[in-house]
Amino acid sequence: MIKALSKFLRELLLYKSALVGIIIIASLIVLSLYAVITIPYGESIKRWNSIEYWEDFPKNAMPSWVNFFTHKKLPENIILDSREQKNYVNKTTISLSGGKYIQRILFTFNYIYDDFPSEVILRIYSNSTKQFTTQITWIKPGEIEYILGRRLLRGYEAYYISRDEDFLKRFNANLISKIGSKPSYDLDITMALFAKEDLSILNRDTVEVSKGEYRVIIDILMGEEDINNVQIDAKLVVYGKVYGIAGTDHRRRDLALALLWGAPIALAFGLIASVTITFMQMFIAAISAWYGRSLDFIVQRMTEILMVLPFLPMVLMISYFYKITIWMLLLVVILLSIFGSGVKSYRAMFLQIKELPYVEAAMAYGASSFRMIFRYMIPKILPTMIPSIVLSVPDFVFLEAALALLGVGDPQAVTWGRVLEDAAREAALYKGYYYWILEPSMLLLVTALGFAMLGLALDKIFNPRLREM
Amino acid sequence: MVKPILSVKELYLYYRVRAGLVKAVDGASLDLYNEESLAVIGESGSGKSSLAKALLRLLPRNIYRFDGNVYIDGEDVMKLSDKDFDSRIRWNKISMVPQASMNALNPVIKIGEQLAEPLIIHKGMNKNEALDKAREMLKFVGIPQEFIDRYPFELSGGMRQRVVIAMALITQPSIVILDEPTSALDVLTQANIMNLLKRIKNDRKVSYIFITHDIALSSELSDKVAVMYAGHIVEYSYADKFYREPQHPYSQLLLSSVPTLRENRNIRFIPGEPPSLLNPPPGCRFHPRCPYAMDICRKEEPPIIDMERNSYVRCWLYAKR
Repeated sequence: MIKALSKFLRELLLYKSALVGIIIIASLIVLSLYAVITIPYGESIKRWNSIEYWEDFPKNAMPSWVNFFTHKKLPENIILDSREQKNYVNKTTISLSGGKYIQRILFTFNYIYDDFPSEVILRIYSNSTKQFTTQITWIKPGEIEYILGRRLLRGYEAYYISRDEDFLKRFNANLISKIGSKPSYDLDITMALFAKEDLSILNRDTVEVSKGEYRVIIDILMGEEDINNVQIDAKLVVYGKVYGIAGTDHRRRDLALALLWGAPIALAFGLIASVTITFMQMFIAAISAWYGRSLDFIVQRMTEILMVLPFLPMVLMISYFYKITIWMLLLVVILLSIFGSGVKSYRAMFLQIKELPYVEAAMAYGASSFRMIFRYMIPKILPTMIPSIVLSVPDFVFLEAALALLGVGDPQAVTWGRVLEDAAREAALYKGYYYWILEPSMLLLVTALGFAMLGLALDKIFNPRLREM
Repeated sequence: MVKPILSVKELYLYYRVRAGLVKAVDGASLDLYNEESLAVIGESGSGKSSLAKALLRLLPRNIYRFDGNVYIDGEDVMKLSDKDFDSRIRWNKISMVPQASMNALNPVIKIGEQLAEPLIIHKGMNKNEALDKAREMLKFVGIPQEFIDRYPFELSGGMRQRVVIAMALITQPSIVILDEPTSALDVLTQANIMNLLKRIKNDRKVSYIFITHDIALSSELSDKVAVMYAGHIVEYSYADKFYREPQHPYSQLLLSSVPTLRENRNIRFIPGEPPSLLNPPPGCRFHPRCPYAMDICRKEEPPIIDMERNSYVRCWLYAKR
């Protein structure tokens, strides 16, 4: 058995296409195993559809490896959290006269990228509902200091620095007094926070990032009675423009999660659909050919009816009406396909086999119908089936993606098709987010290619008449 | 008096096809005694294989008439239901080496498992017991035991033939129908198989119904001979008598068409063609080709004329009028 298997493998590997196909499929399987082991299925869905989980991720960020190919380095995400004991945080208490204290959180970070960040958000967490006056100071390289604002803190507060129009006004005024003019275009607040304040800022094409050490100081004014009880923390997120190996989407979700979890789903969907449909079609064809007469008539007429019914519109209708999950969709696809054209072609093969001498001989020694079908007829055509099973896997992977793209996929599932649908809905190509379309498309293509290459090689081995001279 | 192990009385098997009725077996009667072998000879399409199929109830769907009496060990098996026939008679009492038996092995299962199939089906053995038995049987028909794990395509034609013969014997039936067991084999292999069949007959005490169109070969292994022509058994006789003095004109012509080694004589052939079973000639079915045809032959079917020792011939020439 093992010997036969290794002999078969050796023969298979004579075909380079089979080797490539096996490598692709094996890596997809490894990827799937990794996905399934590291993140459980339920968890992946919960995470993908949550909002809070992704709040520190940049929006529509490209994958970070684009920095290898571009001259201008795009910013990575920078997260500074005072709850973590890191050396970029400095928490101090300053005592003022009159029993007043200032709790100060100082964040220090180096900004060395060539482009501006996409957003800056400061979140302040307090364990008390008491009101405190807070002052936030932004210090650029070269000790240029801006007081971003004084505000009242009550519990949790999210301060969207990059939307602070008041700051922009003050910044512009400051610019006029400093270099005598203000930019002729609508300056972004992130630009104001990070730009060099010289003549280059006046033109959109020349505006430059001021690289160096940035400091953010959060001062909270509190009385003596609170200084030991109230715990205040802050998290500063400077959202980058690149993230991870796959980038993020419009809801800040890391595409890597969807692409990773898309693999097991695509493989499972494709393999289950392909294997079940092929085997069911074969069984139905075998039964139809073996028993013949009225059973054959009924099966063949049913097959013809189901072959005439348009497959895609049916699936679309069912998905629209019932909002089914991806596994229900799989079931629908299987049910609509088991009386497919395969029944016709397998029946034709079985009718031939039924007349072969060994089948007649088996009838002579009285093999039962069950035995005839499963031991004498089906094994005979199994070899021709294996390549077609492998070759039809990508059909179903594409089908799932196509249905998702048409908007009838499982609204919760994390699949490559769903990523494509989001991208299409958000006009990713129009906005220039090529990675968002290309990544899932490439994975789909590579999957199809892997199965096609293996399937064609298998076909040559199992059906030697196809083998080239 | 010794009772026959198989006794067929007036067996009919007609098929219905679009063009009409095919009278493949038309009132066949014969007796087969223990350890006896009966050669059924005739041209292609004379109903030899249909007779075998009728005995084993391997009936096609377009059956029109299937009746008569077939006694096996004194029991009329025609009265049994299909289920009873399958469980008690098929392969338990009567088995068959089918035509084109070189291709009668399932190409996707191993020889051993193939041999074990009748045991599993009819004797209710489990696979291991059956395989042990199969190994024994393989040895008996002269195939090395290691072939038990080979597939049919790895065996020569003669070996496959031996496997099929082993399959017919493995459940120890008392009657084996051999449907042209040596066609498509070369002459040496034929001789081997014939010797094997003789040895089996002596060792296992089985009775053969040996269907062939090779008259020379039939003389090797027969105690009795039945000549079939267009669905009728036209002559049923003992081998010792038949090969020396065939009675029916057809038998005579048939025997004189066989080339012989030592004599230098012209080989004769029978003019005309075998009749269509769909539309047989009226009267005696052989009359268009018969050198002795008389008026009555063209009008009336000849009766069965009993000869000595239970043999008979179907010919007006022997009718006492």
